[in-house]
Amino acid sequence: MINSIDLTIGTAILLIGMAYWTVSIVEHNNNYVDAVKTDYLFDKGISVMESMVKDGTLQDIVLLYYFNNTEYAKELVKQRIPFKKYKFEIDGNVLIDNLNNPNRTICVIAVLTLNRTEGWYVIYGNSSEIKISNKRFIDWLEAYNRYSSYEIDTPVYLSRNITSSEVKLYLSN
Amino acid sequence: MYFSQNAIILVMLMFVISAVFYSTIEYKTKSVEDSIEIKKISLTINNLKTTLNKNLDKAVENAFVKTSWKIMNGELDFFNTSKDAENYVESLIKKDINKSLSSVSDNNIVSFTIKDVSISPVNDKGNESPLYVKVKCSVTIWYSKKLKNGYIHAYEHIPIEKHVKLSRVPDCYLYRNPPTYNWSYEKIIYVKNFPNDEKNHTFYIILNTSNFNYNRMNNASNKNEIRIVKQEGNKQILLPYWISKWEPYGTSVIWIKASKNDLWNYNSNNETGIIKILYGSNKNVLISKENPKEVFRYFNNSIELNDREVTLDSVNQNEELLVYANFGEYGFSNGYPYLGIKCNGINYYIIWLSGEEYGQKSLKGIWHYTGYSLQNINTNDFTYVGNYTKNFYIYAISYINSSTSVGFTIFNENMTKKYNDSSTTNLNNLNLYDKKIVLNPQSGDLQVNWVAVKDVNNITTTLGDEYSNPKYTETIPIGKTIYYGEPGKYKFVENGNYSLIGLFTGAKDSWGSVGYKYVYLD
Repeated sequence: MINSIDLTIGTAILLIGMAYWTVSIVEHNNNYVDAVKTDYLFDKGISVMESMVKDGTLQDIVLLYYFNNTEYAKELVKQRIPFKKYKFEIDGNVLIDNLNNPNRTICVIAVLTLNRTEGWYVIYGNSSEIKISNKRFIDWLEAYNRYSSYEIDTPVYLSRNITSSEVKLYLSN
Repeated sequence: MYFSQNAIILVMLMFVISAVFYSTIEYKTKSVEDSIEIKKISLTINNLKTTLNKNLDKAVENAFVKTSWKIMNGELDFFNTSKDAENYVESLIKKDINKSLSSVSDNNIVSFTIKDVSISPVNDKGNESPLYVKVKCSVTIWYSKKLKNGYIHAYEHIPIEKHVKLSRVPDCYLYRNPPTYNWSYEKIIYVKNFPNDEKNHTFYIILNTSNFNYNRMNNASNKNEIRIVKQEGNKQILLPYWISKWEPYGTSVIWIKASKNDLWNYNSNNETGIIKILYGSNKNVLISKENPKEVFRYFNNSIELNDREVTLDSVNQNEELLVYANFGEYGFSNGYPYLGIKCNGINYYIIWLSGEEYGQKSLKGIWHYTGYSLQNINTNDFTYVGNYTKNFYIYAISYINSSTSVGFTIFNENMTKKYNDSSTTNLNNLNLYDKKIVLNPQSGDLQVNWVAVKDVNNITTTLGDEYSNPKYTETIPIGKTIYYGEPGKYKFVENGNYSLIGLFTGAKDSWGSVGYKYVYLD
């Protein structure tokens, strides 16, 4: 009788202990695996952003975005980013968001020299009056043609207020 | 020993082993998380470096463009010295770099300072040197962050020295000091028989070696140098003119349009007044101000002839048609080459016609067109005027109204009358309308250089005395684009006053030893 009670208690202790241990070890292990996965994602994210900076794609995306060609910009992003769950932001403005309420995200930032005030502005007028356009243009020829009726029509590449465009890529496991 | 006691010991043992394992795995997790944080800091620093590297060029170009623009629009005056201009540009560069890096750095983790921004001229890039600027500055980046397994704290010093090539910087000096033409001599032109009305009239002057000294010109073979002006108080204002013939040291013909209000000292009693011709420019004038379309009521010098009749503008009452043409070798096969006026509706031609009729090689006349072919000629309407073919002549037909006769005149290119007559045909009952200019080579070799229509008048001109230093000046158009160093418009000079910074001082002070000078400034 005593032995059977002892056996029961011992078995219960073993079962509870093992269960608690199993849960605990899985949890700890998952934390570690998550951290490693995040590290991997971060590396991958940096690699993607670096290649987009190097081949000029990111610059094109920012330019397209600021010249109101958002759809083309989105298409370019989709073609180049090999992740399912990500969010793509340009200067805090969300361009694409496929994260769907993630628990854990990692953010990769790439900085470009472009900013929302950069482009071709046109110095136009005549010998007695000279102005500079408020509108900026993506292309020199487009800028030149817009003011071609003026005696002086000189497009200049300018940043009205020099800052940099910040592109953020949020990735999730 | 009871089994339960063994189980407790076993479980406790497992927990002890697990605790060691958990600490190890937690340490590893923190280590991975720290490595991510370090990568983030590294990324921020890389972003700062990229921004600095890429934005520096733009900051430099921006500073030059902005400075130039501010001088162009009067917001800034020209600087007194190159050092002042240099300091101003440097301050703009520093401000831009600062703003550009501030937007990148995370102030809690990464901070930076920019020191010693300086620009200096570059002289070792050959003819492109004036477009280069040497930029130096010193940027120090600090970063500090508490990690899960310790601290990271460091700084990085980035010395920068690079050559930045400027492109498309507007030339403020050129805009504020556009080059000008001025003239050394003016000569009086007396205009006689000028109608006392408010209309514009077209007339011509003739220059030749007896009334005009071609040696006074900067370049006698360049007719662009000539200007015809009216005097208005102290001002001299350009009048519309066109040089139909220019022969240095020979006879030249200049057509002018003016109203009596354009004539200085116009006397309504004897209908005389004065305009002036200018010559002897300060530099070789490359820009012509001739405007025949303004001088004549109608002018066309791009006429394409084919075998068919070409119809041009109308000729109205009190107008004279002038056609500078060559009938060639009266070479016709299908008919007679002709030019003149066609009155549509009732098919009347008032024409000069070339052809052989009863042995006569050149004809003129008013001819009633009755058929489809010019062979049906009533020869009574034609008068033989002589053989004015094979050379260019000005064939003129003056038409005042239907109750007056039509004038036929042939001039050579010097406006010497070779033939003058008027028709005897009475146009009174013909109800002429829609009088168009017609030209028809009829498979012959008629060539037409230009066609003009002017008012009929008896205005004559003579040249008077010459005076020095007329008031008239002309700003040389600088073109639509005014980029410093633009190919074709600028020449390389070994003069630092024409460097960009030198130009910011109004070309008063030098910066370096090379520059670009706008070609018309010489």
